[in-house]
Amino acid sequence: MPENDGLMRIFWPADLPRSDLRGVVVGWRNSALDVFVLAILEEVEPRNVDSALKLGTLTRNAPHPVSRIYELCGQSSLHILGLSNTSDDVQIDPSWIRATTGPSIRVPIITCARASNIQIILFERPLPGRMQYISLSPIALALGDKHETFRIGLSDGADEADEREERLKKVKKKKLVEKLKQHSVFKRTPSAKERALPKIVNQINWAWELEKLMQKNVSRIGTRPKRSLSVSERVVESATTMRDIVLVWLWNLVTVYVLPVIKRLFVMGLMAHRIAAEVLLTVLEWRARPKYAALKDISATAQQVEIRLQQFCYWPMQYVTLRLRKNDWESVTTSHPDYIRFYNSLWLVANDVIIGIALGSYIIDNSSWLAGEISHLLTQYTVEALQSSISWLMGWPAGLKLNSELALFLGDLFLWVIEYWSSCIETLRPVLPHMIWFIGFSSFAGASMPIALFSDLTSILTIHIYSFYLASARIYHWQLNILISLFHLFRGKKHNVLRNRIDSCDYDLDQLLVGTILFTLLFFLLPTVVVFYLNFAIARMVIISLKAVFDTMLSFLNHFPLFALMLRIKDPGRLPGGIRFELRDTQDFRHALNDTTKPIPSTSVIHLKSIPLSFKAMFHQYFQMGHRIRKHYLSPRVLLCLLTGKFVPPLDRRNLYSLQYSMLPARRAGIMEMWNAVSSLPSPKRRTAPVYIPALANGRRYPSNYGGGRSRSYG
Amino acid sequence: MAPTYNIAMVSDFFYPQPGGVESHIYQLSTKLMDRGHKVIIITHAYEGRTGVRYLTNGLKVYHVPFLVIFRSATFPTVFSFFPIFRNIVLRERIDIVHGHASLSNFCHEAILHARTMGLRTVFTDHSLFGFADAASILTNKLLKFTLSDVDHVICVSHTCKENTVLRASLDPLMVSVIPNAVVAENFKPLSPSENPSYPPPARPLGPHDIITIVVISRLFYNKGTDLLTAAIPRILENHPNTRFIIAGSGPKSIDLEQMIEQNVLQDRVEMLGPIRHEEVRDVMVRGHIYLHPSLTEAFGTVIVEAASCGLYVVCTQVGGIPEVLPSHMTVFAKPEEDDLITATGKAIAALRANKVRTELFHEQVKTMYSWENVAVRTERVYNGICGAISEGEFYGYYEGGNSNANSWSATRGRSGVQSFALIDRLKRYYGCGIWAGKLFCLCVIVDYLLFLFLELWFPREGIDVCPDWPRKKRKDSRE
Amino acid sequence: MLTTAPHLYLRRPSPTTAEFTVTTCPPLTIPLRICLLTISLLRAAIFAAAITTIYSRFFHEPSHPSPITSVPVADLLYQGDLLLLASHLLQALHSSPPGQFLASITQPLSNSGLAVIASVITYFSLFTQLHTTESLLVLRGLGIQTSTSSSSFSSPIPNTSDGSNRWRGWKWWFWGTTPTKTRFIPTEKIRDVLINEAFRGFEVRYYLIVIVEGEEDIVVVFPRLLPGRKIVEEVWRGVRGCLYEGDPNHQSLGGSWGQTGTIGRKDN
Repeated sequence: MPENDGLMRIFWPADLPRSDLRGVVVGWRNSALDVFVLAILEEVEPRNVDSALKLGTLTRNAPHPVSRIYELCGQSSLHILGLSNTSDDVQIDPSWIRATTGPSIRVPIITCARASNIQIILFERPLPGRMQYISLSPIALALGDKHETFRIGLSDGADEADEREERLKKVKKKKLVEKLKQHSVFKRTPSAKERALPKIVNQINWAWELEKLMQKNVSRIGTRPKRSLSVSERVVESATTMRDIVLVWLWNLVTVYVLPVIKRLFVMGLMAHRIAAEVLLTVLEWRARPKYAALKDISATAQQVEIRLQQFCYWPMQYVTLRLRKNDWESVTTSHPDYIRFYNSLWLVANDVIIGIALGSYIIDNSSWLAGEISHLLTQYTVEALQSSISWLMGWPAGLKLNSELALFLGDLFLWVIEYWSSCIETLRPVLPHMIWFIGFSSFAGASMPIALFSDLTSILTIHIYSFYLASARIYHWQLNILISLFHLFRGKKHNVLRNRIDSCDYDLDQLLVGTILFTLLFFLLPTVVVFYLNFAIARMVIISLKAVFDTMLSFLNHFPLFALMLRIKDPGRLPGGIRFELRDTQDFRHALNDTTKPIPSTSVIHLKSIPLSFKAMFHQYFQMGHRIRKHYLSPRVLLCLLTGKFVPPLDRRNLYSLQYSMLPARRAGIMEMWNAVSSLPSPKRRTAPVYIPALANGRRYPSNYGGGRSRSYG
Repeated sequence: MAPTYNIAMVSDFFYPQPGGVESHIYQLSTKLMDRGHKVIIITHAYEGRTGVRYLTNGLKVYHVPFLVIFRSATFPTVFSFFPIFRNIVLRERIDIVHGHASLSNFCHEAILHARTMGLRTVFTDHSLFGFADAASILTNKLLKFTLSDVDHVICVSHTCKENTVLRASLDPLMVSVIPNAVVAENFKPLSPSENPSYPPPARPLGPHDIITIVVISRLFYNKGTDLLTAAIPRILENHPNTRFIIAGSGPKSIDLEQMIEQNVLQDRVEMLGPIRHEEVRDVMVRGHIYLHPSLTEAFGTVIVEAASCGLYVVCTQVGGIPEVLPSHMTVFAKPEEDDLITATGKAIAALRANKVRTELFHEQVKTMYSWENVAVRTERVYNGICGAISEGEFYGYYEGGNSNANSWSATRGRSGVQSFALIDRLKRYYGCGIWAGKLFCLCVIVDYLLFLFLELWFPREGIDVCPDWPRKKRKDSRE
Repeated sequence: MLTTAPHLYLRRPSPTTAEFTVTTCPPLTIPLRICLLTISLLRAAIFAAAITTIYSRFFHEPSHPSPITSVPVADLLYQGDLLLLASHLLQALHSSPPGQFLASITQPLSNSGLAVIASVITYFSLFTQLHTTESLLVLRGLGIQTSTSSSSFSSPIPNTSDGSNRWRGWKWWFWGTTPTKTRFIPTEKIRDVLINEAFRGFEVRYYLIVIVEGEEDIVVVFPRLLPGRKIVEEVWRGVRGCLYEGDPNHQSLGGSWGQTGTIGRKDN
């Protein structure tokens, strides 16, 4: 046997009931010296257990198909692993273990004939009923990164350079990783024991439910003295049975006559909504041409509506998946992230609406005051402040001696447009309270709606600043370009457009002369243009950052991992972030075994613990978004754009909201799909009068500190 | 048994950047390692190459992360390199610091610091410089500073030696000439068996056979690219059955391209762009003549490589080039347009007349140049400065013949090895010039104080010593 | 005196399991314990001083004098009104002679300056760390786990009084430990464990790395302490011997020189 180096590995549930009775250790045998203990069946004969395992008696009365256990745990059958608390003279199979446990022994003492040293790995069993589980990799709160392709498919122009750079970096790194592989001097093939870890993780997740099942069935093993119920117990039993029968009868009445009608109506309503949503979504997503922006890319409100609709389309599907979970063992952990995602979005919407109601009633109550404030702010900042700054620029600002004629011309031009715009705003003023009232009313659909509306309102009411910025940037950019090409002429070079390089070129004298004169002229006019450009660029930046604040608020309202955060505080076991091991001291463990006569193989005791998901991982999406925004706006490229007067492209909404799509599938389910899913929902099982099998018919009760002293209840 | 040394080669120029200095350092280090020495290379970080690296033969390269300013020469941060240099020297237990290339700040700083730390230093000069323009004056001053306190200087050609001695006012006895070499095996002419896609030169060349002229050089001003740009159209005009292949890149490549476009020579001039050092041979064997229009050149390894590939060499008569190859392999030209064209014409005519036996060049070059020889001679320099061979033997004079050894060298210490005492060093630096001398002394004093501070702050015991790469058994020396 | 150069402790209950711990905490002796205790008391005092200063400058209204001393602390604790308790305590501190003295000497400082200084002091008195402990747990058949923790008041203290390098128990004096960061790498995913060297600051350091299959970044073991070559080599040998099963030629194979700068044998 190649891997037999005498190392035995035993996984032992730390919360297994400890008793000093004789017992049979049952569990999985992953490989010869790699065993996983599930349960200790007490006071039974190994022979009987063996036959019971073969016949499947121990897994009888399982609520769900048994084959699923074997499939997920990666083993074809359960095994007897050894005996506990036997005397030494009992002859056992050499591969079996002898375990010594007891209420006072914290760590079982284990010997095995074939093992020269032993690793005992103690673990706390996660409770499947509470949806606890462990996993090797952190739980994924976001949907898989299918939106990555979705993004690449849509990316255009602005971020292409960034993305190409990033891709190149990735490719380079990949190459380095490949190189690193060549440096490994020698490649081991992992042994069966090393490859078993993912399987073992599954087995740990199953441990609780399986042990329960087996303990339930222990009574069926072998021939054992049956104890009949006492009289008082019988009375109690018949009384409970009577109560149950009445309840079941009432319940049946409801389920048969009332429930189907309600359900039918509900499904019809749902479908009607779904169709309406589909129509709206088509409008929102309509693009005149594939490259053009859709409504949702331009307007924050449209985006917000779209998200809500998408969520609405996704919820039924999520709910159906979660319902299907009920038909399986509780230990199947695949749908737990779905569960968290589903309730997270429900919570967020509920929160949003609650905050929205408060906000909305405030806005409606104070709509006239708010309208006054807003119009005041508008005139003060978007008209008067701009006017005063332009007049300041027209008169040699800060001692800069600008070209007066050009400054006068530009200033008059902009002032004239502002004048016109302010008259537009004047006409708008009477409507403003109604708009505010409308915004307040919309906030009953969630606080995110008024925020989105305000964001849109800001962009509409500052459109003149945007156009000023565009105009001045264009003028500045042209001038700069002309200066650069004239400078090339001055040096006797020219820009070769075909080859995209600088060629040397012989100019005539008159060409040179005119070029140089023009260069000088334009150069001296440059500062005047620059100050105007800077003025509007700064105004534009302020507006962009204002909108960024709104967007941040929106993203917090829409996608804050609230539910996950609460879970993390309430029950960290439900958010596994990996596992860790702790090496325990063996010293006290040795001392606990008082007789030192028995030779014990060298043993190390290791605790396996689940690491709860870190807060950083929970907010990973936010960090990513922050990173993306930072990279977009604080990159040297943007600075260059600002300096050369090129248009600074705002960050694409699609990019900004990739966060949002991480909670939603890239492609929403169609109407028919949803219909099929909803109608295929399994009808709830008829609830029958529960039949209780006495837990242990031989009268042995669990010790009161069952479960290692932890109180257990299904939450 | 001759002693073996731990040697640190320091230069700004090393792989992955291609070039003559780079391959010189690599070849020399390899051969020295074959002779049982331990060699490490200290250079600055290149794009994507930072940190410690082992090359396949166990040569260890430290790519020190530092700022690069111009043409991969580092910014002169006189003292900031000292802590890390000291760390490397101590962990590798270096005895000799060998700097390369006078344009490399790294090398100058390392020599200064090494002397402060009490190590032996050698400097190899690979380039020629003028005396007139501002940049040269500055570099010369810097060179003078470094070379005031160096144990020995190696130059790659006699012209280079003259130049260096003049620039740094050295004692000529301190300067040895060890030429570069080529790995002749890597530059074999095309054998008929390999690769029939290039037509093997049909001998004898008829008057209508096409003659290909190869130029491989970085396209900079000092490599004579402007000369080339001017000469190519005229050469092609005079000789109808000729072609050019130009490999290399640089700022002047646009001029070349423009020249090709203006004269519509696309089918007669092929620009290959930058090529790797391994590909040089493959390009060379495609041609018959190698044209080297350089304006200044200390040695010109590339013409040796060309000759080794069996190419007839046309080159400008500058710098150390005339020393490199025997006259029957070369046609010399003055570094001007007309003369270059005439020389090329002569070469073409000679080839057409079958006067040149280019197929013999390879064997001849092979006997002339080998890196083993360079390594042996360099090792002798090391022995000399470390006192392993006597002064007399090293400098070629006999103690019996000339007894007043004190007087014959002012710049070098009496015993043939430079004294490490600070006062002696300061004396040497002080002689550099009226103002420069004082400035240099100040630098040295600061450096020394820094050294004392480092000894306190990062004590020697705290520095991990590297395990050595298993040394090769020393081959029997051919001394 | 309070910290030492990083040194290694080894805990190896069975040949297949080993924990290598590198710590800057010296072995605990009585004087050291006293010293550490003094330091924690000092920190507490500094913290209290900073908080009191902030309180007296920004929150204390001189209008109502302190009738506080009469309020029994136990009652407040019992009622669970911690806020009130804290404010009472602060008030008491403020009116005590040291508190008055503190207020008088900080008088010349401006409000903003005082706030900055006091918060910096608060931060440092709470969060500076004396010792750093990093460990590497090797489990044959399972994998490698790295962990890093540093403590502000005192650190897990190795008890080596019995002469053996056994690590007996972790004793936490106060709450002053940053949460231990762990990272587990299954054996299946370990491509190689090796010693590399790289520039760090003004020196070249040896460090132990784990190359993980399918990951872009390597995992540095002991990333904060970066112990010297001797420790790193010892750990490397230990990991090699412990992690891989059986035959000894793994060890020699893994120890051969590679291009990566793997350090194997000492120079022979």
